[in-house]
Amino acid sequence: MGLAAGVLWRRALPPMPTVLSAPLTFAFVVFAWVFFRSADLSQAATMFSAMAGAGGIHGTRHLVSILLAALIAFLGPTSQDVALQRLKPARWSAAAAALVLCLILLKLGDDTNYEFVYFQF
Amino acid sequence: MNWPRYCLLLLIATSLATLALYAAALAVDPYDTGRFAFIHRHGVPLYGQRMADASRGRDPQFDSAVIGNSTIQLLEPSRLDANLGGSFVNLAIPGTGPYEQLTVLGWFLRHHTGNVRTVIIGMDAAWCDTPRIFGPAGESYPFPAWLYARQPWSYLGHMFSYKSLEAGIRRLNVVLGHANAARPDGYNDYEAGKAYDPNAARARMINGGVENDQAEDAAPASAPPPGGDRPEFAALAAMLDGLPGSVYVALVFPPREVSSLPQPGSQGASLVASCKSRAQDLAQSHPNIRVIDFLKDGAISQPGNFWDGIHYRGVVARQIEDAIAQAKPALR
Repeated sequence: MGLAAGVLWRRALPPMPTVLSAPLTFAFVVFAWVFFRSADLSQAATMFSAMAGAGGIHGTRHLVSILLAALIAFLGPTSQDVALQRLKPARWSAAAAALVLCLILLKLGDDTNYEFVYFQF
Repeated sequence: MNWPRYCLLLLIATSLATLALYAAALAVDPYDTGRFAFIHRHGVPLYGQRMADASRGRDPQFDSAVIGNSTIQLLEPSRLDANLGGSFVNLAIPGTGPYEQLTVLGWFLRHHTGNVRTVIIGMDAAWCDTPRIFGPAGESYPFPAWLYARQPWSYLGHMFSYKSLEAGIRRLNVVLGHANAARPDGYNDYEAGKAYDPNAARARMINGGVENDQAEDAAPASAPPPGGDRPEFAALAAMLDGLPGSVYVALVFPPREVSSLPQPGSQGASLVASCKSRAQDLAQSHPNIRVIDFLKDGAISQPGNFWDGIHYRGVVARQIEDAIAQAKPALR
């Protein structure tokens, strides 16, 4: 359906600027995924309304990380481009990657939280 | 540089950085357990009792300890010092049962060999009501037994974590004087900053007696059949057997609000009775053990003395402190 719409648009109308076409394509794909994830149409409808913001936005932390990730995804180079063309083995990147790996390793070692709030008189 | 060399460098750098951070965390000794430590000053940041009591329990300035959960935590060390002599630390940890409490007692005794004066143990519902498994499986809330373990292996395992790094930084801040340390004597007054409202307290009593604690005391996650063995009493007896005759041990049955007392003739009442008789047996076999029983209907169990079904007010804590002092035997 999306491909058909694209073909028809190109035949009948002037080309859409990338600023518009890229987010539109992205949104179309994301919304189309919902059908694969939902058990039935009513569940899909619930998810659509949540995606449109009906459930509210909880905390700014997630919003900031989503916006940041979106900026990188839309404006930055593709991961294939980074991995195969741009990335060169260098000491500094090995050191940075080692630090991140080390923190991840330690994070994996975290266990239960032993502190808890007890009295609520 | 080529990719194979890059991978090798990454591997070496990751291993070295991880080892260095792990070693740093161990050396800073975030929980002041004394293992592998380079810092020999006592004290920890404002951790909860579970994490802080390893430090308090080995602090040589104390020779006497209060062991139990929130139903004994209102006993004030400075008053106990004045009433009984010695230097008290309150090692009560909310939401714990016999397994956790005896783990802490063992830690305290091992670090005060030959220097123990008085031990007060609060025997509340966790000891007396429906038995829970005596071991980690009986914990109501996660308990860091690895901090209090005899061998360092589980400690070494748990210290490999991001949390211990964070805790290490907090401890460094305390040692350098940039942050406040937790109270060394462990006194944690749950009344502090709260105004007593008799109606709110009564509502909590009607709603089952206890605020957060009730699920734990009423229905342990997995319990052996009632009336069976109580291995915690055997374990306690073994620990007390090892103490010199000069040590006063007070087994305290903390009071409960009248509606939280077991109904006469009920299974709860018989469990409490058998619990008390086990404590009496211990007292008979050791000259310096005393049983101090507030778990009965009387003036002290009136609703106005309680915040909920089991957490009493300061005025009751003062009576318990006095009773412990009055029961103290004449020691050699």
